[in-house]
Amino acid sequence: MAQIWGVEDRQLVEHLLHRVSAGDDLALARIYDDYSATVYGLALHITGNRRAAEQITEDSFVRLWEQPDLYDPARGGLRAWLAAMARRRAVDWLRRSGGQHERVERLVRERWRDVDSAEDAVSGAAISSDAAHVAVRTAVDQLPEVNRRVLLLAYYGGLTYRDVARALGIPEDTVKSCMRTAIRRLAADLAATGVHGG
Amino acid sequence: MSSSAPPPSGLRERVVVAARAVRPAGRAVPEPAPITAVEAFSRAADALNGLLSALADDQWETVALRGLDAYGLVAHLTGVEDDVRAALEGDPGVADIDHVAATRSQPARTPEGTRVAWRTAVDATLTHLAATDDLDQVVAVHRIRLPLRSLLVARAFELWAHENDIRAAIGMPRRDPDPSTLTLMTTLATRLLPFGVARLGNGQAPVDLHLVLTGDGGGTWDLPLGDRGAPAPALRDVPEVTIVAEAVDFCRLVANRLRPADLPTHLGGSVVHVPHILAGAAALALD
Repeated sequence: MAQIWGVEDRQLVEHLLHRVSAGDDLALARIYDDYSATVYGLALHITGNRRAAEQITEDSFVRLWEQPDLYDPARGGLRAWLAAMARRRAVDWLRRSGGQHERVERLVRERWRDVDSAEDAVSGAAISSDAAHVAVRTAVDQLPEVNRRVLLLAYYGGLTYRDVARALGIPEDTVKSCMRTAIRRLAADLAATGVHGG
Repeated sequence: MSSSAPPPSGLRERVVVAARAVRPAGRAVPEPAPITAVEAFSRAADALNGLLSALADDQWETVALRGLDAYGLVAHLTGVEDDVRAALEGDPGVADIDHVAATRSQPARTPEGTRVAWRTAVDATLTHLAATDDLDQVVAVHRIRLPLRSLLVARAFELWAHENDIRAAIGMPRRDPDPSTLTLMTTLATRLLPFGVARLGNGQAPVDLHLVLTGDGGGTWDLPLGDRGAPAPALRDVPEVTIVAEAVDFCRLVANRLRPADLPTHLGGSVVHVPHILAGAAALALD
């Protein structure tokens, strides 16, 4: 296993990735064995479609094989990287399939509620569990309802402004305005609590 | 968020097949710019020439290999160069003479004279090569029979090994070949590995080697090794072994500049065969 008690063994992951770079398909299969349940499960959760989830899983691992150096171990765990790629592709699939914006919104809300889960914490996902994260969460929770929903859909859901507008039933210009306001307020709130962007 | 779910059983195979379709198994990324065997030889000669040009007089006298100092080693290389050129010109007299014994000579004991004599011999070889279209012609020299393009890569191997012999003797860090040259070297080494293993003796049990060389010059090879003359039923259960090593370390092993026991590896499968395989790799070296 490339993980011990849910925590990635970084040395083993790097070893497997070196082998993938060297054209060792056995190493790719090994990575698949360790991470496919996460990638497939996430894709299925977002799309609700088994065929789409299978294709997203295939595309994600093929992408890793094609260009293994796209993954930078310094920026987080392989599980988080694969999950982020699967999430992006799943949201794209939803967008292309159309008429499922409510599903995206529900999923994004779920994700926001669950970001403290152990899985995200140990995999080095985009949102960390440190003090800065708590401050960000608090600041986002204090945003007005519309601003918060726009921010979550656009930033964490990966939706375009046009899709956010359609999902929420508001004009695209309003989405842009709400996004600008949300970011401005976040920046001010975080600065007040001593958290600054890197 | 826990959305983990087991994928359908056939998906694993589908992923591997799709992956191989975009990049065949065995091929490393990023791929270095391809170069010819002539270029690899020329680059190795330039690197050694650069080192020799920078040596101080007393460094020429430091023993580097087999009791030879830089004078003796470069004189040996000059002799090799002369014999290779003779072979290229069709002289059968150099086909079966010993690589070391036949090239032992008393060099001029001046750094510049020794270096220039060798460089002149190299340039003569390169001039000959420039007029040669057929890199597939088999050349026989020093009990080796190889296509010319393979022989030139072997020569690049030799120049690199002796350059590092001198570097080690005078306390300079090792130089690794550029990725394009290294790729040619690992390709040749893996192609010859079955012969190196066979050279160790008859009756070696068959074993399937999955060799993964990482880093610059890397790649993945599946090599059937050992005696394949066994009856079919015996070949049905051929053991498999996986060896993962850095490409440049593997080249040092093949050049006999790294002992098999000192090669950093990750192993899998029937590891009992590994010492014999690595010994076979080291047996490819000429000296």
